[in-house]
Amino acid sequence: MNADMAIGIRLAVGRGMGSRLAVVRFVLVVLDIGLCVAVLLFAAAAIDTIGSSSDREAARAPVLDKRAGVTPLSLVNISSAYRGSSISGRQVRGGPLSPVPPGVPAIPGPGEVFVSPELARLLDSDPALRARFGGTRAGLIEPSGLVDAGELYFYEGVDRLPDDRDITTAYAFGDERRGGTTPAEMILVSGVAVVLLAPLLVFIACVGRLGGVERDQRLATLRLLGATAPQVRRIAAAESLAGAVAGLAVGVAMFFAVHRRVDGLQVGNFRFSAADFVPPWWRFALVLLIVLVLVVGAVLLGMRSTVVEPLSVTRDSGAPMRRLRWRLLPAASGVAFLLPIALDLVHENKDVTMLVSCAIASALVAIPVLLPWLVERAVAPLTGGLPSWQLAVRRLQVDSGTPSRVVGGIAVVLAAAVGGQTIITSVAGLHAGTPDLSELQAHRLSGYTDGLYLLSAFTLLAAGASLLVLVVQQLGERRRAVAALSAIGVPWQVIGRSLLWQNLIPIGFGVLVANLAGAGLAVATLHVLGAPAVFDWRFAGAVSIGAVLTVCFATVLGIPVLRASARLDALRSE
Amino acid sequence: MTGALLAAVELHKSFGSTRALAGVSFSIAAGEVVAVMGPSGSGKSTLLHCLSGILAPDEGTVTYDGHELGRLPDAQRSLLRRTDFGFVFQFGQLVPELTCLENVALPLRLAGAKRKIAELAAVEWLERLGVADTARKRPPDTSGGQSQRVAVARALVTGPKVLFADEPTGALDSLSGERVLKAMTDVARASGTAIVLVTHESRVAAYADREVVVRDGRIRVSEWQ
Amino acid sequence: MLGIDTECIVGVMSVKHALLGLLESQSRHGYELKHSYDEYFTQDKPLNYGQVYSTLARLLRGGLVEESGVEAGAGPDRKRYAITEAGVTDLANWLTKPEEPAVYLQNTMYVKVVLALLSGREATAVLDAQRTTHLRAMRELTQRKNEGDLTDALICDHALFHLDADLRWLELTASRLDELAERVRAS
Ligand SMILES: Nc1ncnc2c1ncn2[C@@H]1O[C@H](COP(=O)(O)OP(=O)(O)O)[C@@H](O)[C@H]1O
Ligand SMILES: [Mg+2]
Repeated sequence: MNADMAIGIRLAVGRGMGSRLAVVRFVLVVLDIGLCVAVLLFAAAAIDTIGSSSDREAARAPVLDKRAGVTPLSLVNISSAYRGSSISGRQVRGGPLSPVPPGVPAIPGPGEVFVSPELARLLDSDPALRARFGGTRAGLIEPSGLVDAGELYFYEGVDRLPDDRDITTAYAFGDERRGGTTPAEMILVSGVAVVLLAPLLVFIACVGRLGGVERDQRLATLRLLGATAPQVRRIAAAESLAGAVAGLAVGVAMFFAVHRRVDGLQVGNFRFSAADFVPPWWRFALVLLIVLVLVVGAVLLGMRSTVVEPLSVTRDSGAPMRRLRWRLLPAASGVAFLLPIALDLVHENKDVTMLVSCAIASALVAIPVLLPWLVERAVAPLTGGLPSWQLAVRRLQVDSGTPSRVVGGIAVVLAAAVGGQTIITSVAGLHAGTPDLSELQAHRLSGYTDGLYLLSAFTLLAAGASLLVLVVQQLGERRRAVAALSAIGVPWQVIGRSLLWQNLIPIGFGVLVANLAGAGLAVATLHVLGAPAVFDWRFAGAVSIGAVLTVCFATVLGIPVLRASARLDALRSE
Repeated sequence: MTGALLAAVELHKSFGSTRALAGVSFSIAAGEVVAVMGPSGSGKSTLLHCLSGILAPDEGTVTYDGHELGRLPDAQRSLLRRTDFGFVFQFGQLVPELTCLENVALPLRLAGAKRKIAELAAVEWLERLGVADTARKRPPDTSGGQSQRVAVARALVTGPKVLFADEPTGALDSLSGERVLKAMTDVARASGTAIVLVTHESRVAAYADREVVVRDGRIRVSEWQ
Repeated sequence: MLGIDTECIVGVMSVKHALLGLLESQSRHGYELKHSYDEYFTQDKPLNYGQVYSTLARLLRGGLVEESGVEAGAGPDRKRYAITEAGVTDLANWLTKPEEPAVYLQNTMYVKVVLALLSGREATAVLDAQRTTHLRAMRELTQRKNEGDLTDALICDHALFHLDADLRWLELTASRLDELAERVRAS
């Protein structure tokens, strides 16, 4: 048992010590897993930030119900624009028995002002602004009294409140009813987060499974030498685990490196503070655990049908056609989640949101699971054409797994973008139609939108990086074949174009499937929410073209590796 | 035949419509070296795979040391490969991630031996085959002849009863091939290991005690010395 | 013991050049020459002294070797022989002159196969029988090669490759016959 683990780890290390190309591939894989892990860790922290900022917002919301023995604090909300951002705050007037808002030590006396650190910095640098705030600075507002560290906020003590404003009389601060994140909102946020994080998980699983051909060969050799099937699985698990752990280490390092730099970074209305971006240890551990399980699980699942037979050392007998049955499961469960809504069985807003989120998550899992099967069936009858087309088609017929898994991830991002946009617009539209929606909640929703855009950007970055890794890996696996082609005089441009076709054919199907899934979900969601079905074709078109361009771009980036492979010395190695 | 260590009776095997074996019987005694000859595509490799239990014949039985291979569970067949059988193929059987020394030590480690002990034994075998200098190199950094001798060392390190060699010199020049064959047969004869030597070359078959010829999935000549 | 003749490797014509070649590196006594010759070029039946001295006499007459000294004592064994300039030239010419390729078009094996075919017998039987015999010889040669020294290896390899060529021809012929039989059956 321990010996098996040791052999597995030794194999993983050996992989990192091979030829230069092998080292490049290993490093790319580790970096890519690291990037995905870092994004996941930020997401784990961001959920908290979204929660904590709204919690802090709730904490300073006034309680209007009368309380005995309390002199109410009279306050007026002030908000004014300043160079594109808004400065807001409260003018307050109270007595010694009045409640003190969170983040300030005492109620400012007339002529005194408490300001947020960021506002203080602005005041110090801009005399004109200072002129508008006449009072003497009594101190700074602490983070517990601010929505985020970048907020421009103040408390100003006054003798007399302006007559032309609504005066609020606060008997306490911290209104549970108006404030805290509602369960429905939490579900919405986590649903959309799942939508955007699912592709990351797909990439980790894909990238962790890379080098399948070489690994199959290796494990078949072990089988030949008399390793039992469970032994081979343990060795493979240990081997993939070693790569995953290296990726995790890099990811955690990236997280903390970036973590220190994001302090004060401004995105839209949202400002990061490093203190906010530390996920609780259990969530941190959960992310790491999920990644480990995902990598090892993907490897073991991939081995299920292919390897483990000793014969593939001597003969490549070709994998059997993929079976459809279990691949339909996620798609079926997606439909199942929508059924209760279609049948009008659920009416609670909260339940509907949850079901729709689950349906979207299922659909996203269904895409990478169905795509290899679909591509395999679709390319089976293809023939002829230009040499580059013929090479690509024949290659896909022999092994459509790797390329379709590659673009499966991209398709997920695509569907996630379409689906995510649908969810946000539809929910925003829903809230817009609700008259009693507080200003607070509207602000929060727009905050989510900013966060989601940010998350999508990171996800797309990870998608691009993963795709490049996959293309390079694919070239590495096909090194001998590429060298053999160029040995018989096939120009590398033809090989390059065949590579492009090899990726474009699956992404074509991926785009198709993703748009269908996205559109289907949009229609279902909007139907459920009773809003008119508005499907943004321009957005879908743009994202689809973006996905195709990403594939082209990653393939082109792989050209130097292709040209290195086309050098004939690749033919010489064993 | 009595006294046979490994015997196959009436093996049939088809791949789709291709008939690879059409009723082959074969037997080898302990310590015997038998060449399996025949043109390419005649079914030699398929016979070897069936004999070693890594491929199940459609019909017929393979008996090793009183056990019918087809009836053994996978774990037992794995055990046989680990302890009683050794394999050498034309090329590509060494694990490129491991050094030659580690490759040779691998079967022992899979059987649960401590690393130190396994590697001591491996060094000894590399020396016996005259490739001790490759110990720290990885297989892609050695010559074809050296790789094959490392493969032979790995096949013999567990002290197997039968060595299955499929065109072991097929990818080598004459001199390297001679060295590999001589080392392999000398060492096997000294330790009483039987060899099933698949080859289409008569100069290679001449290293065996006797030969059988496969043509179109049948054994044509079976002659005892 | 062996079914094939490996004793006389060096033809009569080339004993002369063999001796010249042995003398080129250093001068030798007659008995030394005989021993060297036996070591390199014969297996079982050694060269007799008579042939050594008659050949040396011919070489002396032709000016290709000369006597390089007589040591103390008596008898023909005491003479040393050395190669002359003319001898070196003659040897060099002989070494670089290609031999006529020996082409055995009318080999008995060939005749047997053709006759078997003409008489409607199964030709593969002829081939298989021949292979068995050939391989037995090759096995013995291989064994001798592996037990002997470099000279044994060179001699045995020479024979092995020729026997191998025979068997390859047999194998190819067997395949052609199969093809032919198939065509006959098809038509
Ligand atoms: N896994 C396989 N799938 C399909 N055909 C096979 C497979 N293995 C062997 N064959 C076919 O069986 C026949 C015998 O093959 P093989 O045993 O490898 O011959 P040999 O080793 O004598 O060259 C050949 O026609 C070969 O193409
Ligand atoms: Mg074969």
